[in-house]
Amino acid sequence: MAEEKSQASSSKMLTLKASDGVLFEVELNIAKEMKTVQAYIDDCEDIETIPIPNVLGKHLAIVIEYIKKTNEEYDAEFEKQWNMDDLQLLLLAANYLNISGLQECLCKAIAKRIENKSPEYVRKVFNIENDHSPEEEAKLRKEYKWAFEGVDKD
Amino acid sequence: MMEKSVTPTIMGKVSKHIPDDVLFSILSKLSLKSLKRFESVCKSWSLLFENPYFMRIYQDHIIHRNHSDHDDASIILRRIVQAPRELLISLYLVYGNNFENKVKLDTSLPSQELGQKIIIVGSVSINGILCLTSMVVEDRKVVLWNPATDELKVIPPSPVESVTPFRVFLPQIHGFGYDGVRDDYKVLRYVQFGQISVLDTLARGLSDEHVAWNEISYEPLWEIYSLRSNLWRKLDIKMPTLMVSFADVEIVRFYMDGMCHWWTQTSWSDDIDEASESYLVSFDVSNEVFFTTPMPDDSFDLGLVESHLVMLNGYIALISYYGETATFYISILGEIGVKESWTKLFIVGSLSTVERPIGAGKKGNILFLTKDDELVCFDLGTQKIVELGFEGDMCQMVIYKESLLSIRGIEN
Repeated sequence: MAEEKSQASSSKMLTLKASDGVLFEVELNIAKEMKTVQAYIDDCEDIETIPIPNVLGKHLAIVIEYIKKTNEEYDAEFEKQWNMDDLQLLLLAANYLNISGLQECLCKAIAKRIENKSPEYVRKVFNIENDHSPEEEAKLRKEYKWAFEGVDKD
Repeated sequence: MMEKSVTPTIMGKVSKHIPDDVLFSILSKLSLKSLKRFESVCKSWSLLFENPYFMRIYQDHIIHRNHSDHDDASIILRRIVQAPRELLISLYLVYGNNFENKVKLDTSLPSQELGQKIIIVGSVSINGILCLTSMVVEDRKVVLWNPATDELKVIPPSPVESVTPFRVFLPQIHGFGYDGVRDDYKVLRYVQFGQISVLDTLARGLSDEHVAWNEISYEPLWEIYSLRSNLWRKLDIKMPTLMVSFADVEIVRFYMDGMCHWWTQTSWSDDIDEASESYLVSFDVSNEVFFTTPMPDDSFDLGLVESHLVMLNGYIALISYYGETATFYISILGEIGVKESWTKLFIVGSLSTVERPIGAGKKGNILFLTKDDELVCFDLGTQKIVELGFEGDMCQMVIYKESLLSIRGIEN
């Protein structure tokens, strides 16, 4: 259902407050792309400052810029600027704020970056502890020997 | 339904812990090869394929991911209908999410050049070009055709054809593909020779005096045609040849991502205990090398299981039909050349009316031929069947993307 953006609603500004206190003034249209924020507005109509407790200012800034500029070209270049840590934090932000386009873009980007990597690399990326016994791990490596060929060196 | 966990914060710092539902979204976009490798990461990741929640997301990704072959593509269906004294071939352009729109193609089919039993080589058009030949092996002509511009090019005969009139030339096309390195279009074929019969010799008015019979070679060979050079060239290679099933009904030839694929089976030996083996053969069009991938062990048990290859959204897939339970399994190939990498990903129950798949379009829509020779579309996502109101017997399906590319323009 297409929303007609009337002049009145598009000029209304909202303030978003990041976890580290940084404030962002955004147009209502932009804020509405964040479904979590939309739900907040639906609940409390008169709100002017919305707290975003899970997202740092620097990431919120990137998210807002994404919403403003997103298109095929922008999305293709978007993920290249960020390191793996930032990509994950941006994904968590997009997830909390419920912005599906950005979530999809970031999931694809992270998948692309781990695609040809070793299990050790991936554990570091996601901070996962290896709870396989040495025998179990050896068994898996043997069973999927073909999947370990041509893997990038760490 | 997994709960979304809220990232805890401590004094403005954010935790990097990724909740399962988000993690699954990332992992579902990985190749099968990487997913199998990452089973070593930790215990819970080794159980991904047994996790129904993850499997649903992964299946969804496979169904909806967009392989470029399907962008703006429709389907061309070649139908052969038996009329009283002839075969009627018609091509239909079929489009729409569930193949609901059919338009009969008015363009002139190359029946003059190829006769009536036209067959399209492969499973996709390549930059709008189709390669056609005749199902009758002795009608050896091959054409390249752009249906949108109606440009037709008859591929010249190979020098091998005219070495001597005293042997019968029996070509079998194995693939039509694109060489991305040289921007060239190639046709691959296997040529066998037969001895000409006495009757033929007489019929052709040939005199077999002075024929050096022992100098005539009947050695089969592989040759490849390049559009850029407009020449056939012999290939010094030994590859397993295409297995043609009964009555030419199902010839399994595919092209995808720079590789021509075909299905083959080593011949039955007289020893009943020695089972024949089925393979996928994959020919790299640029490098002109090949790979073989054995089929999974349970895929061709005589009488119990029937398997068919389809290209499913950029994956090589095996649809196995277990007659007893009328269930279909769909396995995806993880890595060419690796038998162990066939991975069962879909189970479809109770499709008792269908007989075999014709091909797959976008979004996991699989065209099936039913036992009543009708065509139906099976939506892998919703698992619903839609009747197309179309007879499907002797149907061939090709993914087609229109292009105004000139064939002559590529030829030097």
